Amino acid sequence: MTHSWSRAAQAGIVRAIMLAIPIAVLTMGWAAFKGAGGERLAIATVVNVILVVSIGLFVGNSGVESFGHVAFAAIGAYAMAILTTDPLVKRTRIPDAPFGLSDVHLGVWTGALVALLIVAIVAVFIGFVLKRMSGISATIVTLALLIVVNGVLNNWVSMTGGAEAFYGIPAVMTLPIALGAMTIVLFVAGAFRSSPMGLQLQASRDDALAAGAMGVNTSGLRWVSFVLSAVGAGAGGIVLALLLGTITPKDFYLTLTFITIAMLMLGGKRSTSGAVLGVIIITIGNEVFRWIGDGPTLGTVTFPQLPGFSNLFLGLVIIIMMIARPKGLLGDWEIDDVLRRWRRQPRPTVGVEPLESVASASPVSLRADNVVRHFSGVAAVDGVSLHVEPGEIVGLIGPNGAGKTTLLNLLSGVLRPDSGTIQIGDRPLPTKLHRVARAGLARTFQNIRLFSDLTAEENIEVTTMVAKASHEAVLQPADLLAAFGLVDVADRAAGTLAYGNQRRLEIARAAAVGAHFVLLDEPVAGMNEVESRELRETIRELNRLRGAGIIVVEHDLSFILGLCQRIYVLDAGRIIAEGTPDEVRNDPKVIEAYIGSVAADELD
Amino acid sequence: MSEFLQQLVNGLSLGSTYALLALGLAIVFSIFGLVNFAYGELITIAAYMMYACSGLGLPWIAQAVIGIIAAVVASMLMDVIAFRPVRHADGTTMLITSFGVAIAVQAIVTIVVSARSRTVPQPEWSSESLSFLGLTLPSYQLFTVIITAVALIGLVLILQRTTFGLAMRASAENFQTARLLGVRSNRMVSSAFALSGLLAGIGAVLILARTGGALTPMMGVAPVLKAFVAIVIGGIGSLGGAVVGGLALGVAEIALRAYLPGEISGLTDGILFALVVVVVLLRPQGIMGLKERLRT
Repeated sequence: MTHSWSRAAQAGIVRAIMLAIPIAVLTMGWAAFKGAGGERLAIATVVNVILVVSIGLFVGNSGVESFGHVAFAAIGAYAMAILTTDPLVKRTRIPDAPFGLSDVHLGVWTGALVALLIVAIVAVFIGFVLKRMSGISATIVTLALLIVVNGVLNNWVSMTGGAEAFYGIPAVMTLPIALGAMTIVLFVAGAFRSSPMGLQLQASRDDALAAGAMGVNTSGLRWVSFVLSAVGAGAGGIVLALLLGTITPKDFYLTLTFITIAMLMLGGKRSTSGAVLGVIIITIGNEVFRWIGDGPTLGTVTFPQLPGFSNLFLGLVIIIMMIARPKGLLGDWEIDDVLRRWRRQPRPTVGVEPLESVASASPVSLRADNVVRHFSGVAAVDGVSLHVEPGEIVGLIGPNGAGKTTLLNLLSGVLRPDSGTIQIGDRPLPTKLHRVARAGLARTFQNIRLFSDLTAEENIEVTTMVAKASHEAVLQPADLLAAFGLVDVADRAAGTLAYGNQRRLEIARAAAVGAHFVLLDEPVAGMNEVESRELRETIRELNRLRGAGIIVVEHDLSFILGLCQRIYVLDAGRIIAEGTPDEVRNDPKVIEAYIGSVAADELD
Repeated sequence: MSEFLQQLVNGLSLGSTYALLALGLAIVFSIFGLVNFAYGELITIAAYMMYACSGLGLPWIAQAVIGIIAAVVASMLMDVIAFRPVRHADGTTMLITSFGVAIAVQAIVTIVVSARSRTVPQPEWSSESLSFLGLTLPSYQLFTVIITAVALIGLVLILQRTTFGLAMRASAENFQTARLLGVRSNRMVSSAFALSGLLAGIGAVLILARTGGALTPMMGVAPVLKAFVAIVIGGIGSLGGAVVGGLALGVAEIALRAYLPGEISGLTDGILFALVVVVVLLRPQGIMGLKERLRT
């Protein structure tokens, strides 16, 4: 399945409908069965779907855990409360509200729009802080957000009324309206997940460095998904405020955070369907355990009251899921995947024509001038100058610790040089990693860095979709899969492929960047002779297809000597020799530094 | 001036409790990357154990010892039951697991005891105060500072002078390498949890002395959040940083409470957490953190 915006919209609609119908049936059935009290629980469940699906939009696609989204629900709810509550109530409850807000009386729909706008503005700022962070630091910032917002709600008494209840909010929420809001959120989350943006963000979730090196703008995408998901959470807060009519800061704090996290973890944070399933199971479980905790009467036996039972259930669900199935019940599965089984067409596997070369019409060269990079005083790369011309295959060899990988990291923009310049054509190498790929330079990594949870095809697709934006001539994923012999494994998760296939896939992915230059870091490491001979052909194919200049860093001398037209020899951070394989083989300095006098005889 | 000194003493006393708690959190984190949110529940468990003992009429010192032992045992149990199975998972999976443990323990305390608050009678001396150079020093503050100092010195001696301490410091630096060199991983992790529980238990005794013995099932949440802030400020993963971060946090908190204008003094916690965001942004390695290690 390819990822385009029209396909994403389609997937979003299908997914939203397939998920909304069972929820609507369940909740409306419950409301009809239980009356007014039942409708309250039904709407509260719908609110949880809105919240959890929204949180999943950010957490699932970006891989950054958030404890802070409930803060956006709080902001939405309080903004709604302050904007739409009758001024008669507000003049007693918050008589001195700033900006004359105690006299403002917006209608529900206008109020909701303004409240969402406020949530979006806050989210834009928080997202700006968050977008460059990952792992634990990002999670700490989201937790800090929750606590700061709670502190403000509790203490900005003139605006929010403080810790005491804010009452008098128009309690106009009905089940159909809540379901409508939920369907919109489901659509946005579903469409985002299947969209080009979603796929790129998932790639960065699997490996942020590799994604950057393929041109994916991780921080920008994180920002977008964070704002979208915050607005969704804000919508959940608004619906909740209109349901309850009375809110306190405590309603939007740790308890709600606990519950929504448990729901998301249970169903599977990556899948919209999983989020919905998690809400349904936990809501039912919670009600059952609350009923047990209240001391139910079964026939003649009355059970003792045990408050806290529903929380014990939540805690245990989280622990068990983290241990047994950290990806949740559904993992990456979506409800509309059942439809795809019928729609899938078999791939053409035989009779593929040789791909036509899409060599760039205006070739430029890659050059480094006097590049220096120190690590705590030690010069790993010490004044290196080199150049690579289009269509050339250049080798970079040197003993361990010579600075090869550092040089490659400098050339690919992963590290910045302390001094010296690196240029593609007449333009300096961009400072942001993802711009390097867009400027026409791709790379592979010594220790293979694929997007392991995406399929082989998606790995390539992520890259072509970025490349399309900056180049005209782009190879299609299907063609690349064929050219690199990966058709049979196209639909398998990249992390599950055999080693040789992973290497080939990484090179195919680099080819998909549409780059003028491709840097390969130890491509045959860990391969046997047959595999490495095959890989040599793969690299030649890459060279032919793209007309790209290729730099290969390798330990395997015979591999380099048999593949490259020109070779640089690096030792102790400096280039000590340069020339054709024959010249390098016979250079006494190279023999001295790299090969050693004994081994030199064997080479001849 | 004496007002300032008084506040400084208050700050250091509060800060030394935070330092102790932060250290307990940092020991486990530095060994295998778990930010243990359920650490706060160890405090709760110790406190409720003291409550149970006081119901049996045991003297205060016996309550304290049993409470601390309970926290140690509970900490090691948490490791075996919940954290060992996810030990090799990523940091956020472990963090969320600990979240689950925290909720479960709170629920169990609610079920077994009550959701309502309880009180452990504190010894009379804890509510007295000493006058000293024009400063009024509540004796619980003096007690806190002394206990913290003893605990920290004891810990430093263990870490610096014993083979076990060496193994633990090596594991904190690089757990994988330490294991390859023969440090037994399960034993090391269990010991880290035991030490962590010990510090939480001591922290519980100090917190009860400060609050006059009030207990609720949620009582562990606020301290763990503070300890969290302290290790972030001090440099997550650094043991020395945890102590410095805790002291700095205590002083900052007292200063904010004392000198913020009355109408926003309730915002203290909010401001402290905003501070965390600033620290994470400007110095992700913390004020005491090691220089960023380069990995490519």
